[in-house]
Amino acid sequence: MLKTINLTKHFNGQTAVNDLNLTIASGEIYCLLGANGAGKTTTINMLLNVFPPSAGKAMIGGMSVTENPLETKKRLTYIPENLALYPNLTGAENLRFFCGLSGLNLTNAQQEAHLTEAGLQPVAIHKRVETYSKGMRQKVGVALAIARSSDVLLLDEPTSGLDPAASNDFARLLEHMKDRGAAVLMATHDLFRAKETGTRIGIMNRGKLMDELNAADISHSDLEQVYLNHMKS
Amino acid sequence: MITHLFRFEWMQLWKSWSFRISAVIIPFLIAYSVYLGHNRVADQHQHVQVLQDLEETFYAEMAERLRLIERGEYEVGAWFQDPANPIVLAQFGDAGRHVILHPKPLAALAAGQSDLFPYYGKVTLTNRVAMRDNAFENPVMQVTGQFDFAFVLVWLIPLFVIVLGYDVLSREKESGTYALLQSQPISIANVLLLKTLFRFLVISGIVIGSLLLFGAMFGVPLFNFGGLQVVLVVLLYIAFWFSLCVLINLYSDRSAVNAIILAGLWVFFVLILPALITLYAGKQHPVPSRAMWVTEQRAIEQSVNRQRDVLFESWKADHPEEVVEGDTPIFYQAWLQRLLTNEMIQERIDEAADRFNTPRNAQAGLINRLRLLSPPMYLQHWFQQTAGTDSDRLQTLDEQMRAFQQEWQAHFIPRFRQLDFFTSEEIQQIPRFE
Repeated sequence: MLKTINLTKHFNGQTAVNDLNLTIASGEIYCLLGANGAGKTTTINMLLNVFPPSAGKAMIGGMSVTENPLETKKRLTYIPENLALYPNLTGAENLRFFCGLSGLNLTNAQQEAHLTEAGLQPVAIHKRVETYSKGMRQKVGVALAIARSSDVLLLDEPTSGLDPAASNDFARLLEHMKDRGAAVLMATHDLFRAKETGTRIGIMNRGKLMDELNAADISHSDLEQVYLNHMKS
Repeated sequence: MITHLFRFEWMQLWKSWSFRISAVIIPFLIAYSVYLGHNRVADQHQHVQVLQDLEETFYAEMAERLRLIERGEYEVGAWFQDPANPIVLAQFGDAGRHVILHPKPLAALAAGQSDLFPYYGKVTLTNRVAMRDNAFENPVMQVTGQFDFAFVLVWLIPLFVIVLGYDVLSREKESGTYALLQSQPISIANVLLLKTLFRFLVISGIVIGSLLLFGAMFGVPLFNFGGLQVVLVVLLYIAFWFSLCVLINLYSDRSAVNAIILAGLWVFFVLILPALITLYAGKQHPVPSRAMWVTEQRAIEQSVNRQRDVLFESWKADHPEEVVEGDTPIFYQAWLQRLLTNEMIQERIDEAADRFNTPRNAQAGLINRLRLLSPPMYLQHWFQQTAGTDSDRLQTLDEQMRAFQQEWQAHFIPRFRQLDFFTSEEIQQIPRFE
């Protein structure tokens, strides 16, 4: 569903992403671990076609994101670290607006159903987003993915700053999305969440994918040790 | 997609206080300016009507008195009471005609130079006096100038455009929604273009809607070709300021910086550039002071008056066929000489006026060309022209008064020189200013 082939990005002579090869299938949660500046966000930005790769290819649903930017964007939902919505609109209105951009017109009942499915309290659905916590805004993002039946979810540090309960809620939502058949790429610093939620874990350092692990095959402490080893190298 | 974006942009705008306040203030400002313009024009119409009524009454009374004299029912005590006398009919008391620049249909939209230049004047045989009906002016009004629609549009509407457009892109970037928009299956350029277009349409709709509504309420004829031109110009002007907003947003991601730059551009286009253009034109084509011109006119009058006896005798010798010789009424020689002296003074003043008018016209021509650099300055002038309150039109009053005075003099002076008095029937046919 999501694939990068020798994906590379240089900025002013510096290599931000170096020869990255990833394949994430439907129903898989791939957690990309790495320190700040490791190249996680750059990878996601290239998948969003925010800027083109210096070399290699990023593909979603078998299509190159640079050659078919609008088609590939129809199949994905992106949730950044701080999901910014229009503060003077309600959660439901924000959902309707962003769904409308992909040509999806939701009824009121559908909006409420999707937002509830994403875990938003019914009482919050018609409140202005300016009153929402970060966790509530993330849930609107997930509702957007549910409403659009997105094949791909790109998440950039989605649990950073969330309290443990909210982070746990979010992890369950990701499980839910995985069960719906979405391919999830989550960039994170959170080793615990990566181990608990991820199907596979990739470790990036200085733009390079250093290691790939099956989450089920490694303990929390081993993951931490492997991660630290790669950061030192 | 357009409907979807417009609908949500409207929801966003409607929930923002800056828009709500603008949506109330703009119609209020336009209503107030059109109301003041309507009053100003109504006052002019009323004043003109009073003048024309006075004129009609005066000549009706003269004709009536002359009919009584012709029937032998009335006898005049002195020559200056005789309504058959050309001098009495053309010069004395309320005699003479008013030359009037009637307000144009859209005069209510721009006061222009009408608070500086007179719009009517009185013409007699020897005088041309341009006048205004607001000699007793509130000094505060003189300082602040007239509040009209042109002022609201040229000066104030750009501020509202800036308030609603300074952050059209930067706000998305600052709040983070830009990142989310970038991930949507629609061109970000299209989204921003449509958002800006919608804001442009909303502001234009409020301005044009208010203008048409309050114009209709206060009798300003806007549902015609002239009105269509005004609407197009309003659209272009608002589009100019929105274009600046978009341009600045493309180069700067910070709303506060954008607001400061746009406010600076407003100051530059509305205040600084017009001042620089005026300064430059004044430097290129300096116009002599008005005091010098008045002094020169007085010098000419004194010079002619010193020689008037010699000039008069010389003229009479050259034009014996134009005067009556022998026993003439007491006023004849004195008025003959006064009219001739006046004619000579006028000729010399006209010659001297060229020295003052040439640089003034050159200065005006240069300003007209440079005006294109500043859309606000150009638009202000366009509105004045459309409203008929620009200095060029108002300055034609003097030419029109001069032309009419020549007609007036040609009608009366030859008959006076021949002592050919008027009948009551002929009073009805004395020239009128059309």
